[in-house]
Amino acid sequence: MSLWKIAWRNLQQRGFSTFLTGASVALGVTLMVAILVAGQAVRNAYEAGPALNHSLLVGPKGSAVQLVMNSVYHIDRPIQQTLPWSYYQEFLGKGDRKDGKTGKYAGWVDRAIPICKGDFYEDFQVIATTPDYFTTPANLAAKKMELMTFAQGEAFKRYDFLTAVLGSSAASSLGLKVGDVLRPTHSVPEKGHENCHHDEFKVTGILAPTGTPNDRGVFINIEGFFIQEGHVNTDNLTEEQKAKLKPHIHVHADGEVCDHDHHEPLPDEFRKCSAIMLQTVGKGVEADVNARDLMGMINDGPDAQGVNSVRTAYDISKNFVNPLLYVLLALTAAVVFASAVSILVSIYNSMNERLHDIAVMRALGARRETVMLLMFLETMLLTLLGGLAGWLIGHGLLAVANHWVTPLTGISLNPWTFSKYEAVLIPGLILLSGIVGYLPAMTVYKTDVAKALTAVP
Amino acid sequence: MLKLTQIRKAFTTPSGERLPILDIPSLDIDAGEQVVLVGRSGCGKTTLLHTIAGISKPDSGSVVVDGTDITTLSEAKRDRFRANKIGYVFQTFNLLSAFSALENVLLAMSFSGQKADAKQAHELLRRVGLDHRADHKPKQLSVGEQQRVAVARALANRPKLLLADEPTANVDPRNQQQVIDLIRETCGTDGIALLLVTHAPEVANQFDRVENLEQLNHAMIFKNPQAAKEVTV
Repeated sequence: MSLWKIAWRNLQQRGFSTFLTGASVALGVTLMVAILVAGQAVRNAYEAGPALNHSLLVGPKGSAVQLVMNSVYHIDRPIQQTLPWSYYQEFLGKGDRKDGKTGKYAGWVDRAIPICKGDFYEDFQVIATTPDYFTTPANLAAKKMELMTFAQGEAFKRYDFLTAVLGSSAASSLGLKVGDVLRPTHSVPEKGHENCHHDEFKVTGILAPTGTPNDRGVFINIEGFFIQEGHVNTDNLTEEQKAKLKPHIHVHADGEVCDHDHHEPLPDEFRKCSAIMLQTVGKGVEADVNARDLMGMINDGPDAQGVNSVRTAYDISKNFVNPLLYVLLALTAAVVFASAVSILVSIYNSMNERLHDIAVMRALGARRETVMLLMFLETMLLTLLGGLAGWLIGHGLLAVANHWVTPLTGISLNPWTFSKYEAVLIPGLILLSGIVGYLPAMTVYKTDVAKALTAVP
Repeated sequence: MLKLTQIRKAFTTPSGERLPILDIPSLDIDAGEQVVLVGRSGCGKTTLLHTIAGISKPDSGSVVVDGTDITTLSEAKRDRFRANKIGYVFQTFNLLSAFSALENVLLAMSFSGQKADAKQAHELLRRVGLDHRADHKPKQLSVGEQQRVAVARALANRPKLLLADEPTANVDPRNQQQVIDLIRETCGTDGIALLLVTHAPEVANQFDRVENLEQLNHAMIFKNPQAAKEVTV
C-alpha cells in the first residue's frame, strides 16, 4: 500500500474536516486564479499593441485618455467635439480624394480610417467606420499577421450603407447572426423613455474572437451612419441634397451603377468624425518614428490631438490597473495563507487521535521518517486537491462571469487563457504545504511510540 | 528465539526520581514455544513487551530475537526488524479506523519493506474467519472480529515471534476463548514463538509454561504501588 494511499485514507477518515479545509484552500486559489487571469486579460486588453489596427489615433482636442478609451476600448463617452471631414482628408492621398489634391499629412500615412461614435445598440456602443477597419495594415500583413477574421459572413461593402458587422461577444450577447437586423439608437438608450431609433442595419459578418475590445463592437457602415437622423443638420442642405439622402437609383462616384434603390453618400462638406485611426508608413520602428513625428505636427496645430494608443493604454495599465492588481493579489495571497493555517489548525485539532494512529504504524514497523513523510503527504494532498479544485472553479467562474463582464467592460475574459503566474501556483502550493506540514510532521517524528500507544486516543 | 539478558529499565518520575521498572536477569523462549506471562497491573508487562519489540530500548542488557541483539540496532533498523520478525497483538486491538480489515493487514506488509500482497492478506483473513468482511472498517466489526483482524495483521509478515498484550481483556467472554485458540493454533501451525501477557487465570492455565513477572522482575516497582500509579508502564 503506497504512502499516498495511506495519506488519502487518513484524509477520508476526517472527511468533513478535510472538505472544509480543502474548501478554504480552494476559495483562496479561486480568488487568486480569477484575479490573475482577469488581470492578465485587462493588461492584454490595454497593452495589446499589435492588436491595434493603427499606430496613431487622432481626435478632437481634449482628454487623451478619454479619446483612447472611447475610440479603442469602446467605453466612456466620446469627446464632445468632432473633427471636420476636411481634416480627415488631410491624411488622404490625391487618389482617395474627390478634389484630386494631396492631403497635408498624406506622406506620413499608409491608411486612415475614420470612426464615428455616439450611437448605441442596447448596451453596446456602435462604431461607425469603413470596411478598411477590418483589414490588416500593410506592415502587419507583410508579417503574415491577421488582426481580424470573420467567423461568419464578411465585412460590409462600402456602398451597402445599412449594413453592420458584430464582434464575437457582441454577437453572442445580442443573439444576432448574419442576416439579422439591428436598429441603433441615437445616443445612450434610456429605459422607460422613447428613444430615437435609426434605420435597420443588416448584419453581414461576425468577427472571430480577437481578445480585444473589438469583440464587443457593433460596427456599422459609416455611410449609413451619416444619413441617420440627428447626424446631419438638414437645415443646411438644399432640397436636391435632401432628396439624394433618400434611396434612389444612381451612379456611384467610381462609376458603378446600382440596379436597386438605395442611398447616395452624404456630401463631404456635411460629414464629420469622432476620431481617425492612422497607420503611418514604414515597417516596425520606422512606422513608430513616423507616428511620433506626425503626432508632434498634429499636436502643434490647433485642430486636433494625436495620441499613441499603445503608450496611453500602457500608462493606464501601469498607473491604475497594475497597482490595483497587486493589492488584490496580496489580499488573495493572504486568503490562501489563512486557509493554509486552517489546515494546520485542523491537523492539530486531531493530533491526539493522529499520534495514536502514528504510534500504531510505528509499532507495525513504520520508520520515523515514513510517518513524517506521511504527514507531509497529507498536507500536500489536501493543499493540492484544494488548489486544483480552486483552479478549476476559478476558470469556471471566469467562464460564467465572461457573459456579464465583457459587455460591461469591453474586456474579454477568456477562461481558458492562463496567466504565466499560474505556473508558479502548484510549486507555491507544494511549498506552502511543506511549511504547513512541517510542525505536525516534526511532532509525529518526535512521537514517543510507547507513550502514545498506552495513551487513550 | 528470544533471549533476554540483564534487562534493566527505569523511568523518571515527575519528582525527578529514577524509578526502576524492569530488572530481569534472564528470560528465554524457544522457537515455536508458547509462554504466558502473568502479573498484576503495574508490574511492567507492557514495558517488557515494548522492550522486546524494540519500541523502547532498555537502559542496559540485551534482547536477542532470532539471533539478533536488537539493542545494538539503530532505531530505523529496529523498526524494520520489528516489521519483519515480530508480530504484535494489542490489548485494545489498535486497528486503524481509516482502513478496512484487508488494508489493516496490507499496511503491516507495507511497512516491512516488502510488496503488500493482497492475496496473502486475504488468506490471513480467511484463516481468522473474516475474509468475507475484508472490506469492512473496524467500526463495522464486533470487538471479537476486530481482535481477529489484529491477529491477522500481526501475522502479516510471517513473524518469528508473536507478542500478545492481554489480547482478550477487551473481548466479550463469548469470543475470548476463540481469540486464544486462534492465536495458539496459528502460532503452532506456523512455528511462531508466542509470548502472551494476561492476568486471566483461565487463559494462563491453558499454557504449559507460565512465567510470573513479579518473580521474574527484580525491580522494586511492584513493591511501591504509589510510584506505579505515577508512571505509565
